[in-house]
Amino acid sequence: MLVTAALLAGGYYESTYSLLAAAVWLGLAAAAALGGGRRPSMAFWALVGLAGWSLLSAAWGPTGPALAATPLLALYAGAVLAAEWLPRGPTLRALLWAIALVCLAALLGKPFVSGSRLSWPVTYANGLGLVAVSGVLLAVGLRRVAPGAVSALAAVLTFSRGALVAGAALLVAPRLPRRIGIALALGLAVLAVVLARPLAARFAAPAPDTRDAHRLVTLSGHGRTRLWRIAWREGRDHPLLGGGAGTWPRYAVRAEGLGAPANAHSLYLETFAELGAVGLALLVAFLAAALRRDRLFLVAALAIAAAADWDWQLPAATLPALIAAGAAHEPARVLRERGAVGLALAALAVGVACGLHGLGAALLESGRPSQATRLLPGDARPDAALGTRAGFLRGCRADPGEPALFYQAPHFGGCPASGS
Amino acid sequence: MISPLRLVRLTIAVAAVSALLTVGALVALAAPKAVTKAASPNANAARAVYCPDKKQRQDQLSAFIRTMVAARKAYFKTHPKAKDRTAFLRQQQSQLHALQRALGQCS
Repeated sequence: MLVTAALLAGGYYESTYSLLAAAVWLGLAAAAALGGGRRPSMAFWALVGLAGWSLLSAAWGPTGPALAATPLLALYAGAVLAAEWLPRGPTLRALLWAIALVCLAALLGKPFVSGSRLSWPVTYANGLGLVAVSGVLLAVGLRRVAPGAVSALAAVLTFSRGALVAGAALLVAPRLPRRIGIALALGLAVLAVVLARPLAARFAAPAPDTRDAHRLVTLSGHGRTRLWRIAWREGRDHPLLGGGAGTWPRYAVRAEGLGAPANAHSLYLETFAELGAVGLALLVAFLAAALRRDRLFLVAALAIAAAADWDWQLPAATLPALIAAGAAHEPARVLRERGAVGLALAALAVGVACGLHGLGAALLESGRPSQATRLLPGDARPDAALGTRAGFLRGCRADPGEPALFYQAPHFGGCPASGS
Repeated sequence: MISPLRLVRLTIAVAAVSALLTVGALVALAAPKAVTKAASPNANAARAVYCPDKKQRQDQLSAFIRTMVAARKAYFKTHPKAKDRTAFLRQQQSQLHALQRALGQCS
């Protein structure tokens, strides 16, 4: 699953993660039905809660983006459950070799891909950086030299500051004597407080994003603070419920124009903006439950890196931590027959729903919007992609805030006022 | 003799495998481009995030280039003064460069 996601642009595209979610949940349905199911962990239930909340946000936010965002969370919940049901040792070893394979492909493919930072096949250097750092942490935990070395080399060549800092901190900190660790943490905390203002100013200052080793010594956030402010404003407008899953990009378009990036570059702020305090609490509950058992520190690496990046939207970067979190769960009791049937039925329903959504997204991405319309209810993108006035008006009725409609507004005279 | 609950469990397992195969076949038949596009070297998650409107930018540039000559001819027909014409051409060129710059940011 990890290798497939990595080779398909990190699994970023909607069709990819939806179809992967379908495969995982339909596999879980078959496993639960055949008697392989065990009681899920708290981390799994927290993720299920987050996915449910994301879907529910269609009630107060736009339907299309909520339906598009939820299969990603379904994939993550399914991956955690699958890892809980699989035997721990072989799962972690297979994960390590899968990461090493992705890193090896990245190193061997380097001469054929443009750009000085290693990014292919995940197609985002910081995302590949997190994959590679996860490989290093896993290799150290499992005491495997060869895959660790490949992952370390790939991690360095991504020049990803967040992933490398997180990896270095998590390799060193747990191995320090307790007293030295506490003293070091206190010293760093004091230093952070004293230097907070100048550091924040340097982070917010614009600077060219160099694509080589020089970027490792720069402190610029390359515009992240601007994106975080947009997320904070959206969250402040709807503090409890959020603006609705998948709504941050349209806030950004309103603030910065159509060229605005599609992610807020902070998992926590974006979750607060889109799903409010409730969504953020569910996310923190998941991370807390996963971190408690994670002795390999993969979840910690994800939690640190995702604070200032969009690794959460890249399944290839997030799955190693989720699989490690699931594998860390101690084997629980086998589900009773009725419980197994209930879980299998629920998994079947989730799998079919994700599969249909994935098919709709694949049709849209393949340039067949007219066929995608029925499979993507409440979504204005297929109507906008038709390029006709009738499609434009239908899109306006479904979701007038969809950025894809803005491009057509000059041709078709803008969306009519609601109710007219 | 198979118990009813066991039969239900077997049915669910068969339904799950059938659903997986059906979705896979439908994607392969109706939308294979989505998978091949994501697997191709042109697929780029970073570009999708930092340049979500690349296609629109490309379309805008192509449309502008396509209509440049016609727009110039139409303007020249109604504006005989050299000063007006020079200003028009300068504006057209700056608009062209702005659109090219916007698209260039996506690479």
